[in-house]
Amino acid sequence: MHATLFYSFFKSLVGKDVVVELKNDLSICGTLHSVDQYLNIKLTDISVTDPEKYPHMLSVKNCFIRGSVVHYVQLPADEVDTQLLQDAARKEALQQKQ
Amino acid sequence: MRTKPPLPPAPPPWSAALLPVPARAGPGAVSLAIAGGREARPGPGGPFPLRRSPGWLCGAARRGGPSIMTSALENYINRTVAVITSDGRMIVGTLKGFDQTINLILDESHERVFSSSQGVEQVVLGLYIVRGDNVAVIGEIDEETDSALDLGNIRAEPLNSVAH
Repeated sequence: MHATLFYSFFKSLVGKDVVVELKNDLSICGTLHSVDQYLNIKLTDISVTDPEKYPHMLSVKNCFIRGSVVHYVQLPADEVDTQLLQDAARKEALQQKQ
Repeated sequence: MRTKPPLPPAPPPWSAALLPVPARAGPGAVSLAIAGGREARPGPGGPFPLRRSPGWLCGAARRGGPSIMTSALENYINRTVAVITSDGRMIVGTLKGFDQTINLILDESHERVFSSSQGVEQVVLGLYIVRGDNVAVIGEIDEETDSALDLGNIRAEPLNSVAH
């Protein structure tokens, strides 16, 4: 299993509220339930940020999002030490190169 | 003629709990985790110990690493799910099986076609296999909330595709 930095990062965020913005422009808000090595994301207690425009998920409470369709994951700023993350990412990129 | 497909001696770690499809499914059958398959299989004590825990999902962990949490679809098996595909379609059905690449087996499925001019149209599809590449979201449908929906009155633009 290669590049596990962000996998570990998301694991540390389990239980937090996040907004996942998908490549099809759908934004889903929910509690991060679990993540896997492909960065597939499971959210519980979801709500679509614009339910008028996207009523498609009205009867869905929990969902599984395939990692490949995620555009962004919006996180609460105080949950992340961005300096730490940047340094760690730099280190991992270096390791990957070798 | 064999009644069972041959079992390979050394399965790749991630496929340990994947069950070979029974012979009646034909030579083109794919090997997926199938709901109900466990009960259907005879148990000769063969090389595939059937276990509850998703060992095959923890591919790397089975090689002796620390246990890895997986974001599994196991909990959705036999439940009604809404699958949003990469081209923006919504297919509702009963999730019968899945695999590592998120290929899905959906039973009693129908497509919900949303339009801004008329209510939701439901097109019956039947038993479907959806290739994992095309899956975007799998939502667990809450039956109560869903039956309370008045689909005839919902107006919405169809979802976008994931490509630009």
